Amino acid sequence: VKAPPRPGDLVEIGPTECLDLLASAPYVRIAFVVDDGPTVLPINLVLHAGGVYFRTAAGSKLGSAAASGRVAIEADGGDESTRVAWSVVIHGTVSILTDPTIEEELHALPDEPWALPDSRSFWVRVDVDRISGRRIVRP
Amino acid sequence: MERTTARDRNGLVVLGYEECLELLGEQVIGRIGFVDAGSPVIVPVNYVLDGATVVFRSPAGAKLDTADRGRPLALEIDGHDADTRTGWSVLVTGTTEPIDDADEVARFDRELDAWALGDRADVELVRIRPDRVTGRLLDAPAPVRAP
Repeated sequence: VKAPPRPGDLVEIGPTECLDLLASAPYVRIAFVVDDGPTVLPINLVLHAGGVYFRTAAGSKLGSAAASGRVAIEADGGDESTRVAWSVVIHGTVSILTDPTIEEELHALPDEPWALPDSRSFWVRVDVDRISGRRIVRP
Repeated sequence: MERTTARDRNGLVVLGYEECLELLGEQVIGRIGFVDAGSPVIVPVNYVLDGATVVFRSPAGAKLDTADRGRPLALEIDGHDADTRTGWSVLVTGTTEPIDDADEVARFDRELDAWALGDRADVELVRIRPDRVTGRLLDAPAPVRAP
Protein backbone atom coordinates (compact mmCIF):
# COMPACT_ATOMS: atom_id res chain seq x y z
CA VAL A 1 0.00 0.00 0.00
CA LYS A 2 1.44 3.33 -1.08
CA ALA A 3 1.54 6.18 1.41
CA PRO A 4 -0.62 9.17 0.38
CA PRO A 5 1.37 11.94 -1.30
CA ARG A 6 2.68 14.60 1.03
CA PRO A 7 3.33 18.28 0.35
CA GLY A 8 6.34 18.73 -1.90
CA ASP A 9 6.20 15.14 -3.17
CA LEU A 10 6.90 14.70 -6.86
CA VAL A 11 5.20 11.63 -8.30
CA GLU A 12 5.86 10.27 -11.78
CA ILE A 13 2.75 9.59 -13.87
CA GLY A 14 2.72 6.46 -16.01
CA PRO A 15 2.30 6.66 -19.82
CA THR A 16 -1.31 5.42 -19.88
CA GLU A 17 -2.45 7.98 -17.33
CA CYS A 18 -0.42 10.66 -19.16
CA LEU A 19 -2.41 9.96 -22.33
CA ASP A 20 -5.68 10.03 -20.34
CA LEU A 21 -4.75 13.43 -18.91
CA LEU A 22 -3.82 14.73 -22.37
CA ALA A 23 -7.11 13.47 -23.78
CA SER A 24 -9.11 15.13 -21.01
CA ALA A 25 -7.34 18.52 -21.21
CA PRO A 26 -9.53 21.12 -22.97
CA TYR A 27 -6.44 22.21 -24.91
CA VAL A 28 -2.69 21.74 -24.85
CA ARG A 29 0.40 23.74 -25.83
CA ILE A 30 2.75 22.81 -28.61
CA ALA A 31 6.40 23.85 -28.79
CA PHE A 32 8.18 23.78 -32.12
CA VAL A 33 11.18 25.36 -33.80
CA VAL A 34 10.93 28.27 -36.25
CA ASP A 35 14.13 29.81 -37.63
CA ASP A 36 16.16 28.04 -34.91
CA GLY A 37 14.04 29.64 -32.18
CA PRO A 38 11.33 28.15 -29.96
CA THR A 39 7.63 28.97 -30.35
CA VAL A 40 4.77 27.86 -28.09
CA LEU A 41 1.06 27.96 -29.03
CA PRO A 42 -2.18 26.57 -27.62
CA ILE A 43 -3.83 23.93 -29.78
CA ASN A 44 -6.57 21.34 -29.53
CA LEU A 45 -5.19 17.85 -29.49
CA VAL A 46 -7.20 14.84 -30.60
CA LEU A 47 -6.41 11.32 -29.41
CA HIS A 48 -8.17 8.97 -31.76
CA ALA A 49 -7.79 5.21 -32.29
CA GLY A 50 -4.31 5.14 -30.79
CA GLY A 51 -3.10 8.16 -32.77
CA VAL A 52 -2.38 11.75 -31.77
CA TYR A 53 -3.57 14.53 -34.11
CA PHE A 54 -4.14 18.25 -34.33
CA ARG A 55 -5.37 20.66 -36.95
CA THR A 56 -3.46 23.69 -38.20
CA ALA A 57 -3.71 26.25 -40.96
CA ALA A 58 -1.75 26.27 -44.18
CA GLY A 59 0.72 29.15 -44.24
CA SER A 60 0.78 29.54 -40.45
CA LYS A 61 4.03 29.09 -38.52
CA LEU A 62 2.80 25.81 -37.09
CA GLY A 63 1.45 24.75 -40.46
CA SER A 64 4.84 25.34 -42.05
CA ALA A 65 6.60 23.42 -39.28
CA ALA A 66 4.12 20.57 -39.52
CA ALA A 67 5.38 19.12 -42.77
CA SER A 68 8.07 17.45 -40.71
CA GLY A 69 9.93 18.17 -37.54
CA ARG A 70 10.13 17.70 -33.83
CA VAL A 71 7.46 18.94 -31.42
CA ALA A 72 6.88 18.89 -27.68
CA ILE A 73 3.30 19.00 -26.44
CA GLU A 74 2.34 19.93 -22.89
CA ALA A 75 -0.77 19.93 -20.74
CA ASP A 76 -1.04 20.83 -17.10
CA GLY A 77 -3.66 21.34 -14.47
CA GLY A 78 -4.16 21.87 -10.82
CA ASP A 79 -6.79 21.32 -8.20
CA GLU A 80 -6.96 24.05 -5.58
CA SER A 81 -8.94 21.87 -3.14
CA THR A 82 -6.50 18.94 -3.12
CA ARG A 83 -3.50 21.21 -3.83
CA VAL A 84 -2.27 18.78 -6.45
CA ALA A 85 -0.74 20.05 -9.71
CA TRP A 86 0.20 17.89 -12.67
CA SER A 87 1.91 18.25 -16.00
CA VAL A 88 2.33 15.93 -18.95
CA VAL A 89 4.72 16.31 -21.90
CA ILE A 90 4.98 14.24 -25.04
CA HIS A 91 7.77 14.47 -27.60
CA GLY A 92 7.41 13.38 -31.16
CA THR A 93 7.73 14.03 -34.85
CA VAL A 94 4.94 15.55 -36.91
CA SER A 95 3.80 14.86 -40.45
CA ILE A 96 0.83 15.91 -42.52
CA LEU A 97 -1.95 13.34 -42.31
CA THR A 98 -2.55 11.69 -45.66
CA ASP A 99 -4.84 8.81 -44.62
CA PRO A 100 -8.30 9.79 -45.94
CA THR A 101 -10.15 7.33 -43.65
CA ILE A 102 -8.65 8.77 -40.46
CA GLU A 103 -9.12 12.30 -41.83
CA GLU A 104 -12.81 11.60 -42.31
CA GLU A 105 -13.11 10.22 -38.78
CA LEU A 106 -11.34 13.25 -37.33
CA HIS A 107 -13.60 15.61 -39.25
CA ALA A 108 -16.63 13.91 -37.70
CA LEU A 109 -15.44 14.89 -34.20
CA PRO A 110 -16.88 18.03 -32.55
CA ASP A 111 -15.09 21.34 -32.91
CA GLU A 112 -12.97 22.56 -30.03
CA PRO A 113 -12.27 26.12 -28.84
CA TRP A 114 -8.95 26.63 -30.60
CA ALA A 115 -10.14 25.06 -33.82
CA LEU A 116 -9.40 26.89 -37.02
CA PRO A 117 -11.53 27.88 -39.98
CA ASP A 118 -11.96 24.69 -41.93
CA SER A 119 -11.14 25.97 -45.38
CA ARG A 120 -7.46 26.66 -44.72
CA SER A 121 -6.68 23.92 -42.22
CA PHE A 122 -5.30 20.42 -42.42
CA TRP A 123 -4.66 17.53 -40.01
CA VAL A 124 -1.25 16.69 -38.63
CA ARG A 125 -0.21 13.38 -37.08
CA VAL A 126 2.18 13.23 -34.12
CA ASP A 127 4.39 10.14 -33.90
CA VAL A 128 5.04 10.07 -30.17
CA ASP A 129 8.38 8.70 -28.99
CA ARG A 130 8.46 9.93 -25.39
CA ILE A 131 5.76 10.47 -22.76
CA SER A 132 6.40 11.85 -19.29
CA GLY A 133 4.25 13.25 -16.54
CA ARG A 134 4.48 14.26 -12.93
CA ARG A 135 2.31 15.35 -10.13
CA ILE A 136 3.26 17.57 -7.23
CA VAL A 137 1.48 18.24 -3.98
CA ARG A 138 1.59 21.94 -3.18
CA PRO A 139 3.14 22.75 0.18
CA MET B 1 -8.13 48.88 -20.88
CA GLU B 2 -8.63 49.75 -24.47
CA ARG B 3 -9.39 46.68 -26.55
CA THR B 4 -7.81 46.28 -29.90
CA THR B 5 -10.03 44.86 -32.61
CA ALA B 6 -7.43 43.81 -35.16
CA ARG B 7 -7.73 40.17 -36.16
CA ASP B 8 -5.19 37.74 -37.51
CA ARG B 9 -5.66 35.46 -40.52
CA ASN B 10 -7.38 32.85 -38.33
CA GLY B 11 -9.96 35.29 -37.00
CA LEU B 12 -8.37 35.64 -33.56
CA VAL B 13 -8.28 39.08 -31.96
CA VAL B 14 -4.74 40.45 -31.80
CA LEU B 15 -3.94 41.68 -28.28
CA GLY B 16 -1.87 44.82 -27.86
CA TYR B 17 1.42 44.99 -25.99
CA GLU B 18 -0.11 46.61 -22.90
CA GLU B 19 -2.86 43.99 -22.75
CA CYS B 20 -0.26 41.24 -22.99
CA LEU B 21 1.76 42.78 -20.14
CA GLU B 22 -1.39 43.08 -18.05
CA LEU B 23 -2.15 39.38 -18.55
CA LEU B 24 1.47 38.48 -17.79
CA GLY B 25 1.17 40.42 -14.54
CA GLU B 26 -1.97 38.54 -13.52
CA GLN B 27 -0.69 35.00 -14.02
CA VAL B 28 1.93 32.99 -12.11
CA ILE B 29 2.31 29.82 -14.18
CA GLY B 30 3.55 29.67 -17.76
CA ARG B 31 5.37 27.27 -20.04
CA ILE B 32 8.86 27.94 -21.30
CA GLY B 33 9.94 26.63 -24.67
CA PHE B 34 13.52 26.29 -25.81
CA VAL B 35 15.56 24.27 -28.27
CA ASP B 36 17.82 21.49 -27.04
CA ALA B 37 19.98 19.71 -29.65
CA GLY B 38 17.60 20.83 -32.39
CA SER B 39 14.46 19.60 -30.62
CA PRO B 40 11.88 21.73 -28.85
CA VAL B 41 11.46 21.39 -25.09
CA ILE B 42 8.47 22.65 -23.09
CA VAL B 43 8.35 22.94 -19.30
CA PRO B 44 5.76 24.54 -16.98
CA VAL B 45 7.30 27.15 -14.70
CA ASN B 46 6.42 29.71 -12.09
CA TYR B 47 7.26 33.19 -13.29
CA VAL B 48 6.96 36.81 -12.30
CA LEU B 49 6.76 39.89 -14.51
CA ASP B 50 9.58 42.32 -13.69
CA GLY B 51 9.12 45.55 -15.62
CA ALA B 52 9.06 44.49 -19.25
CA THR B 53 10.99 41.29 -18.54
CA VAL B 54 9.95 37.91 -17.19
CA VAL B 55 11.77 36.01 -14.44
CA PHE B 56 11.15 32.32 -13.89
CA ARG B 57 12.43 29.36 -11.94
CA SER B 58 14.22 26.93 -14.19
CA PRO B 59 13.52 23.41 -12.95
CA ALA B 60 16.50 21.12 -12.43
CA GLY B 61 16.92 18.71 -15.30
CA ALA B 62 15.26 21.11 -17.73
CA LYS B 63 18.49 21.10 -19.78
CA LEU B 64 18.46 24.87 -19.75
CA ASP B 65 21.86 26.22 -18.83
CA THR B 66 20.91 29.08 -16.54
CA ALA B 67 24.34 30.66 -16.90
CA ASP B 68 23.66 31.10 -20.62
CA ARG B 69 23.17 34.58 -21.94
CA GLY B 70 21.37 35.27 -25.20
CA ARG B 71 19.80 31.87 -25.64
CA PRO B 72 16.46 32.03 -27.53
CA LEU B 73 13.55 31.28 -25.24
CA ALA B 74 9.76 31.51 -25.33
CA LEU B 75 7.26 31.79 -22.50
CA GLU B 76 3.59 31.12 -23.09
CA ILE B 77 0.62 31.78 -20.83
CA ASP B 78 -3.03 31.18 -21.60
CA GLY B 79 -6.51 31.02 -20.19
CA HIS B 80 -9.75 29.38 -21.16
CA ASP B 81 -13.42 29.58 -20.24
CA ALA B 82 -15.17 26.27 -20.92
CA ASP B 83 -18.67 27.79 -20.62
CA THR B 84 -18.22 30.57 -23.13
CA ARG B 85 -15.65 28.62 -25.20
CA THR B 86 -13.39 31.64 -25.21
CA GLY B 87 -9.67 31.73 -24.60
CA TRP B 88 -6.53 33.80 -24.86
CA SER B 89 -2.80 33.26 -25.04
CA VAL B 90 0.30 35.41 -24.75
CA LEU B 91 3.71 34.51 -26.14
CA VAL B 92 6.95 36.16 -25.04
CA THR B 93 9.97 35.40 -27.19
CA GLY B 94 13.40 36.68 -26.33
CA THR B 95 16.73 35.68 -24.95
CA THR B 96 17.94 34.52 -21.55
CA GLU B 97 19.89 36.51 -19.04
CA PRO B 98 21.30 35.02 -15.84
CA ILE B 99 20.39 36.59 -12.51
CA ASP B 100 23.53 36.77 -10.40
CA ASP B 101 22.85 39.65 -8.03
CA ALA B 102 22.19 38.29 -4.52
CA ASP B 103 19.60 40.98 -3.70
CA GLU B 104 17.71 40.23 -6.91
CA VAL B 105 17.82 36.49 -6.22
CA ALA B 106 16.41 37.08 -2.74
CA ARG B 107 13.68 39.37 -4.10
CA PHE B 108 12.53 36.94 -6.79
CA ASP B 109 12.61 34.05 -4.32
CA ARG B 110 10.09 36.02 -2.27
CA GLU B 111 7.98 37.16 -5.22
CA LEU B 112 7.71 33.86 -7.06
CA ASP B 113 4.74 31.70 -6.21
CA ALA B 114 5.41 28.49 -4.34
CA TRP B 115 3.35 26.34 -6.72
CA ALA B 116 6.39 25.08 -8.59
CA LEU B 117 6.39 21.76 -10.38
CA GLY B 118 9.59 20.86 -8.61
CA ASP B 119 11.52 21.33 -5.45
CA ARG B 120 12.34 24.88 -4.50
CA ALA B 121 15.94 23.92 -3.80
CA ASP B 122 16.35 22.47 -7.29
CA VAL B 123 15.59 25.59 -9.26
CA GLU B 124 17.55 28.54 -10.57
CA LEU B 125 16.39 31.96 -11.66
CA VAL B 126 16.49 33.09 -15.28
CA ARG B 127 15.36 36.34 -16.87
CA ILE B 128 13.85 36.59 -20.35
CA ARG B 129 14.70 39.80 -22.16
CA PRO B 130 11.81 39.92 -24.66
CA ASP B 131 12.23 40.66 -28.36
CA ARG B 132 8.51 40.16 -29.02
CA VAL B 133 5.38 40.00 -26.91
CA THR B 134 2.26 38.88 -28.76
CA GLY B 135 -1.19 37.80 -27.72
CA ARG B 136 -4.38 36.37 -29.20
CA LEU B 137 -7.95 36.28 -27.99
CA LEU B 138 -10.52 33.77 -29.14
CA ASP B 139 -13.64 35.76 -28.43
CA ALA B 140 -16.30 33.62 -30.07
CA PRO B 141 -16.94 29.91 -30.61
CA ALA B 142 -15.28 28.48 -33.65
CA PRO B 143 -17.49 28.56 -36.74
CA VAL B 144 -19.59 25.47 -37.25
CA ARG B 145 -18.19 23.31 -39.99
CA ALA B 146 -20.24 22.56 -43.04
CA PRO B 147 -21.11 18.87 -43.29
